[in-house]
Formats: sequence, structure tokens, C-alpha cells
Amino acid sequence: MQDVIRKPWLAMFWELWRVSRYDLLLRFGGAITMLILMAALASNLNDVESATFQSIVQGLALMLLSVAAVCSTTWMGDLDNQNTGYTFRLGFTRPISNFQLVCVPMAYSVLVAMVGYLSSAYFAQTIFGLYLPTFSVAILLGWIVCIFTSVTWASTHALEKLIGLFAALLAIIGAFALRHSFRDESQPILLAIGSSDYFRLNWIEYLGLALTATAAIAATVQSVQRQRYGEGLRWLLVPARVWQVVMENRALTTFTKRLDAWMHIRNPRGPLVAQFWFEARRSGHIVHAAIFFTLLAFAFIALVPLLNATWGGVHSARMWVGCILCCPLLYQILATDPLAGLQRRQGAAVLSAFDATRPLRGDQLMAIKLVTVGAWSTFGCFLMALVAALHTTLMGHWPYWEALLQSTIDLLPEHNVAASQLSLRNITLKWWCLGSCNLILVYFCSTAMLMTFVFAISKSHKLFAGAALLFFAHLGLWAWDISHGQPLKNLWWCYAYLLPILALLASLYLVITAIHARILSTKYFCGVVCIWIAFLTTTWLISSKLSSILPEVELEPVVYLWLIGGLALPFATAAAAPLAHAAFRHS
Amino acid sequence: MTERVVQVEHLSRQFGKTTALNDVSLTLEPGLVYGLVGANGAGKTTLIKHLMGLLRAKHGSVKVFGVDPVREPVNVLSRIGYLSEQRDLPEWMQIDEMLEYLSAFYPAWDRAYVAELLETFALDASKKVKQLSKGMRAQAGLIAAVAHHPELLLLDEPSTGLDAVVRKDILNAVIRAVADNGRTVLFSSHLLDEVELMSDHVFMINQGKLVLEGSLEDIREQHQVLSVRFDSCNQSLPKIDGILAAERHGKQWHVVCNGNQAHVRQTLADVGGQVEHLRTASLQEIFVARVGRARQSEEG
Amino acid sequence: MQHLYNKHEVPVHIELSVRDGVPIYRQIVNQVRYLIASGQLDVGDELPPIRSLAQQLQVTPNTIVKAYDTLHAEGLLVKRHGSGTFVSEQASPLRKSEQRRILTQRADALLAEARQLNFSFAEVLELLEKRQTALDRIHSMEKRHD
Repeated sequence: MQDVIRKPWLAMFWELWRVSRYDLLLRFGGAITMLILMAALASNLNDVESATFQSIVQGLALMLLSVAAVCSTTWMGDLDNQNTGYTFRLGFTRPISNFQLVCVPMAYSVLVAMVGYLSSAYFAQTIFGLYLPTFSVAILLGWIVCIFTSVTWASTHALEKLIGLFAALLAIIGAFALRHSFRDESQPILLAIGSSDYFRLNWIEYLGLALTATAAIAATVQSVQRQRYGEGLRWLLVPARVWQVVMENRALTTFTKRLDAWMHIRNPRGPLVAQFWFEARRSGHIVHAAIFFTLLAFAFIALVPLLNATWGGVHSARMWVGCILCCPLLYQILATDPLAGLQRRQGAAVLSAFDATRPLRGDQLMAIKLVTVGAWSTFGCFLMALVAALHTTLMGHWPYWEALLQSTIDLLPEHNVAASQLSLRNITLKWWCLGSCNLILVYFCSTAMLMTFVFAISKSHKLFAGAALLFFAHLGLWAWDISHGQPLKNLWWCYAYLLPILALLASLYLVITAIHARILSTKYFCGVVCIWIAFLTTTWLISSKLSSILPEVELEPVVYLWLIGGLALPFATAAAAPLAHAAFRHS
Repeated sequence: MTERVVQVEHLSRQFGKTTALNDVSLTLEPGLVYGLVGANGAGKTTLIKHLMGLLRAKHGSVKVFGVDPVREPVNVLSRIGYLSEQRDLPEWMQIDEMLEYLSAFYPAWDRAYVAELLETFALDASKKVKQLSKGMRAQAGLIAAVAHHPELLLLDEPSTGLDAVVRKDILNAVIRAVADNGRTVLFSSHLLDEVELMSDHVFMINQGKLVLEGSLEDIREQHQVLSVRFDSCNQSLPKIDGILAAERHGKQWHVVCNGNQAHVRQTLADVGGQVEHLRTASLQEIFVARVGRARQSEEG
Repeated sequence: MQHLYNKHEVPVHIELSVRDGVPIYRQIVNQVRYLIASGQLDVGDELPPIRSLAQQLQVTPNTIVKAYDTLHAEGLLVKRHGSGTFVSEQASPLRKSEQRRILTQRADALLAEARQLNFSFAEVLELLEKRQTALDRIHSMEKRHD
């Protein structure tokens, strides 16, 4: 290795490769896996009109691979770097010219995007016979990567970067839209981009690409030169100045100070309250996320009817219900990661000593984390519901909601007398309570499961990568099996019996280990048992009610097995979450 | 017999193929200051982490205040104060927020002491941890570590990378904990002068092994530096039991030895060496002799 | 006798050396002895409390405890419960012998050095006399100057 690296730029290339290879593998591996899945699905749906279908698949594949290629540079954001602007600040201390400092990593990322796209396109061509355009798209992708990277590196202020990236995105989309409108396509865009000649560029277009890329690189070199001696290049002087004035505004600063003071902790009642405050503050960005998503949903639902006449109250109601149901999941995912409290140090995830030395038991910490996630989700959901209620009341859309719920209930098959009698009006409060209770419990358990996963993945990437590989291999096998007349049917049956039994055994093992290691205290364990019994009861009541409505079906024994395994899982996660936490705290 | 604060028995720990601790046994008695010295990566941090239950004792046992710190984290951690070289405090917190938050966990939290320390250090409590310099961060961490008058104060390389003023602040807090409240302190350090002045008892750890343990005076009395003169320049020193390290300056040898001094002198006289000067060794010399020798024997 | 021990705390000047080869508590003991012998610490003077002396010297408090205990055992210090550590009355008769002891140490050192440099005893005596007259002259000049 040492013999080959004789030039600084070669050394930089090697360093870049060394830093990014796993991320690249992950991104392109993921894209190719998706491609395989798509192709497998496509081969199952042969009866659809084939020519159109083929070009839809090609269009989708093209978009997929392009997104993977453009995203192949995002690993730079993960570099240990506090500053906005140029990413590889270590290079500033090395005897390398600014030009090389910009061009070598730029060339690397452009090449990676192009080579990644080309190789996966060839792969798709040889394996599945998908004929994707190669060089022209590769050059376009390289150009896009070049523009985005330039904007990221040249801007030295967070606002500049945001505006710059947004502007670049708009410009690129605009350019494509312009080109599309000039081409006068009769086909819809998804079909059109799948056709082979769509991306055939003429020499003027190539020249345009080359000129813009050169300009971008030149500007970046200028900016990096200034960054190297510690000055920013303000591309957007006016917005930056406005930002400064706004941030330094006295009213705003006193407001933020008041807000800060209000959020201060004063004479906490006890360790549990203090810890709850800590966890809530730590994941406080959920407030921003909740406000952002609520506003986004509101803007969408309020604006679309103005543009599209066919959008009615039914659609609004559907959207709102969808948003209210989905947002807790979103906040759950957003809150779980910071609440786990893991830090990256020397390539390994560790629990910070500050967290680990809190004099609280692991199960207490875990319970507080779960309650915090629950509290934030409730807050976010409530916010969304409030805005939805306001909007619906203002627009007078409540009847649509009722109709929506009734139509959901009507989806139940009407083989049964009870089902035909069921309407929204005669669902009693008891059943509403039971249903929501069950939902909350499921949510709680899923949060615990998610938290466990975050810990488990961070603890042993290899194990997780192996499991994921196994899973994807099985997916591939399944796709192959379906397209070849199911010769492996017995294997799937084996799995169907084995998996729930394994889940049961694993649950039992986890609970026993946790109790034995005194990670689960009696109090916590009793709480878990109570919650679990509540969960079982509500599930039982609801399912018995449903089964009285639903037609009688003969259930295979394996279904019962799955049911038992599935019901045991929430109980097991209650033990698994503190165990996973303890694995970090007491390694 | 007073209660032992810490009792570690036959503790071993491996990370992959590297041995971090190898059969370490030690006890800490109340009211004393213990110095833990060793080269980088000798296992000091690993040992301290075991005492806090941040690592589970896989081989051997660890008892702090008579209980297992992994099994009873609440009991043990609420009686321990900890300051590490990393000083990882939550970046987003203000100092006063952090102290208020921490006060909830320790019944013995001393607000007056906190206020006094904040004033002594001239720390602006409304600053965020993110905005603090290295020294201020250490001071904030120190307040967090001592404000509840912990029965056991664990300091993992507290002085590393700090200026003399902050170092003195840390040592003063240690002195106060020991002098006023009779607390126990275990601190690891690279600064051997500091250890020599500040500790009553020294543990020297090398490649996971406890190579030397004892009160500072005993250790120094056991180790002597001899200046030996030989007639010829190219005389090589024979292997003698009790000689830890020898360094040649022309005809003169500086020899660090321990234990049976008479035997060493006799053997040196037999090969024609003349002992010119004798004095007790400093901790620095003992450390270099012990740790250096272990390295040589590994290479050899 | 109580009034003897009510005097203010006297700052003590002690310097420690790690390279000395002498245990730290020994160094403190020797230097307190010297301070008493030279009259910088008088009978009834209060010594600094353990914590403040430990903070001043940046040593572990137990070293100070040990040094004070040693001096206490020698009769140079007395401990008053709840008020502090003081120079004892017994220190004053000890003072002369202590002074003699210190001077003896210096004389021994001088003679050893003289032997190393091949001075005879007579030469050393002659030198001492010369220095004495020289110092006297300087002393008287200083007095006249004042």
C-alpha cells in the first residue's frame, strides 16, 4: 500500500476511500437489494400490459439508482466536524493547494456516484434485462453531485447552506422541468424517463453542464481559500445580515431567555422527576418537529383544495386521520435515538459517563425514557389533533369524519348479523376506551422494542448486519421461490412453526436473565406484569368482540402459535430494554 | 477494624485480546488518599470503571461499601463522586441547571458549598457547558463531583491538560474532602510529583498488573538509588536480584534497587563496583524503573 | 495558662522538595522545628489548621496530621481540643538545644566540605575568624549609616 501512495492527491483518495467504503457499500447494497426486490415483484406481475409495465419498472429503477448515487456523498455529513462549510478541515494543515483540496474529494464523490450508478445499471441489465441509460445519466448524476457538494462546501453559515441547497434543488428541478416541457412528451413522466432516448443530451447541454460545474468548482475553491485562513465567504449577504439582526433582536433574545428560564429545573421533587426533566429536555427537538409537521400537514391540507377542485372534505378528513395516526410513530422514531443517550467515541458507541453514573437503576432509567417518548408523542399527537379539529370545525367537515369511520367499520365483512347492525353510533364508550387503551399499550411496547433495537444494533453491528443479510437473503429466496413454482414450500412452513417457538423461548430467557441479574426489580417487574395483563385483557376483549362479528373461520394451529408468540413479545421487551441498557452501562 | 470502602479481589478483565486488568486485588480504607499511577493504557480507567459498576467484574469480585456496584447502582453511585479526564457533561445544559438537576439525586447535596465553589472559581453559572473552556469544564465537573460530600471520590486523571490554577482547585477540593470529612479519595495521575505529595498510599499498575502497592514512605524506603563506580568503562552489570534498573554514565552507574540492600551491595562489590552514594528513590525513579523493566522483559 | 494559647494564627513558611529523598512529613517536622528554634514561631503561637496547611503545601492532609503528631510527641506542640494546635511552653527550654543541634549540622557539613577540598582544620579556623571580622565591619558600617 505504502509503495503506491507517492502523491498527495493519491493519499487523499486513499483516505477518502478508507473513510467511506462501508457507507458506500451500505448505500449501493441497499439500492441493489431494493432493485432485486422490485424485479422479483415485477416478474410475479407478468400479466400486466408488459411494454408500459416494463418502462414503469425501468423508470422506477432509474430513480432508485439515481437517488442512491446522489445520496452516496451524504457520509461526509457524518464526519466529526463542528463547522459548516468545507468538510475535510484536517486537510487545511497539510501542504496541499486549495485547488487540490477541493478537486480531489470532489472528484472522488463525483466518481463514486458515477461508478456506483454505472455498475448497478450494468448489474440490472445483465441480471434482469432492465435497459437503463448509462453514460448520459451517469454524467448528469456526477453534475448534480458536483453542484450540491459545491454549495455545501462554499457556504459557511447554516442559513446560507440551507438557502443555497434549496436554491440548487429548485434550479435543477426547474432545468429538468424546462427540458421536459420542450421535449413535448405525450407520455407521463414516469413512463418517459424509462425510455432509452430520454436522457440523450446534445452538445449544447453537455457544454452547459461543463460550464456550470466549472463555475461551481471555481467558486468553491475561492471560498475554501478564505475558509482556510478562517474567514467565511458570505454568498448571501442580505439573508445573513437579516438572520443576524433577527437573532440579535432584543425582544427575541429576552423571549428566548425567558423561555430558557421557564424550562429551568427548580427544586426537583426527587430523582425520578429530575431524570424525567433531563430526558425531556434532551429530546426537546421533538417540539420543533411536532410544530413543523403539524404546520406542514395543515399547509398541505389547506392549500391543496385551492389548487385542485376535486379535492374535497373526504380527502381532508382522510389526510387528517392519517396524519394523526402516523405522527406518533414519527415522533417515536425521532425521540428514541437521542433518548438512548449513546455517543460515538473512537468508532464505538458508548453511554456517556454522565448518564451511566446517575444513581438510578437501569429499569428506572428505561421506564423514564419510555414515559418521555410517550409524553412527547402525546404532545405531538394532541397538537396535530387540535389543528385538525380547528380546521375541520372551521370548514365544517365533521360529517366527513363520521362517514370515514363508518366506511372503515363497513369494511368488516357482512356475513354476520352482528356486523350489519354495527354502526358508529352504537359503539359504546367502553369499546372506544378499550380500543384506545390497547393502542396505547401496543405503542408503549413498540417503543420499548425500538429502544432495545437501538441499543442492540449499536452494541453489535456485526450481529445485526448478519441478521439483516440473512433476512434479505430470505427475501431473495422467497422471490425466487414464488417465480419458480414454490419448491421451497416446506421450508416456509418450518419457519412458520419455528419462529414463534424461538420467540417464546427467547422471551422466557430474557425475562429470567433480567430478574436473575437483578436488572428488573420487583416493583418494575410487577408494573410490567400489570401492563401486560391489561394488554392481554383488552386484546382478548376486543378480539372476542370481533370474532362474534367476523365469520367463523377454521384457523390453522400455526396461527395460534403466532398469536401466543406475538403476545409474549411485549412482555419480553420489557425485560429486554433494561437488559440492553445494562449491556452498555455495565458493559 | 473500620469498614473497608473498596475491596477488589482477583479482578481480571480482557478487551478482545488485550489484557486490561490481570488479577488485581486491593482494598481502600477510609480517610486516606490513594494515588493510582501507571503508563497510558495500563488499566487505570478500567479499574476505576469497575469501582463504579460501569464495567461488570467478569473474573474476580468488586465490593464498594460492602456491596456489588453493578447490583446496587443506586446505593453505590449516590455515595461516589466522579471526575474523569473526559468530563463528559451534557453540552446543552447550563451549569446552574446541571447542578440543580444533580441535586435531586443526592440527599446530601450541599448548596452552600456549591455557591462557595462557584464564587471561588468565578464561574458564570448561566453559561452553557458547550461554551466552557477546558478548565471551566473541569471546574464544573469538579463541583458536580464533590457537592454531595461523597464518601468515595474517584478522580480519573483529573489534572490532565489543565493549567496550574485549575489543578490546584482540584487538589484543594480533595484536601478539603479528606481533612474536613475524612473521605476516601482514589486518583489516577501521570504527574508523579503530584501523586508523591498528594497520596498516602500508592498503587502502581502496569499492563493490568498491580506491580507495587504500599504507603508512600514504605515504598520510598524500600527503593534506593545507588551510585556505583567501576574501574573500567566497559564493565557490564551482572543480573542481580533486587536491581530494578541501571543506567550508565561513563564509569558510573545509577542503580535503582529494592529490598535486600546488603545483598545488592555485596554482589556489586564482588564484581568490583564501589558504592559512592546512596539515597532513597523518588516515585519518578521507581516508576521508570518498574514500568521500564516490565517493558524490557516483555520485549526480551 | 489559657491566655498563652489565644494568640493569632501565624503564617508558616515551609518549602517542600520531592527530589530531596526525605519523606514529606519529615521535611515539615524539620522545618517547623527550625521555625521554633529560630524564634519565628513563639510559645503560644497557633499553627495553621490541617486543612489550610495542606492546601498551602498541596499535600495530603494525613501528612500534616502525621507531622503534627510527631511534633506533639516530641513535646513541641500542644493540641487544644476544638481550638487548634499551638507551640507548647516546653518548646522554649528546647529551643537552645534545638539551635545547637541545627548549628552542629551546619558545622558538620562545613567540615566535611573542607576535608573534600583539602583544607586543614587550622585553615578553616583562620577563615572563620577572617569572616567574623569582615562581617563585624559591615555591621558597624550599616549602623553608622542608619
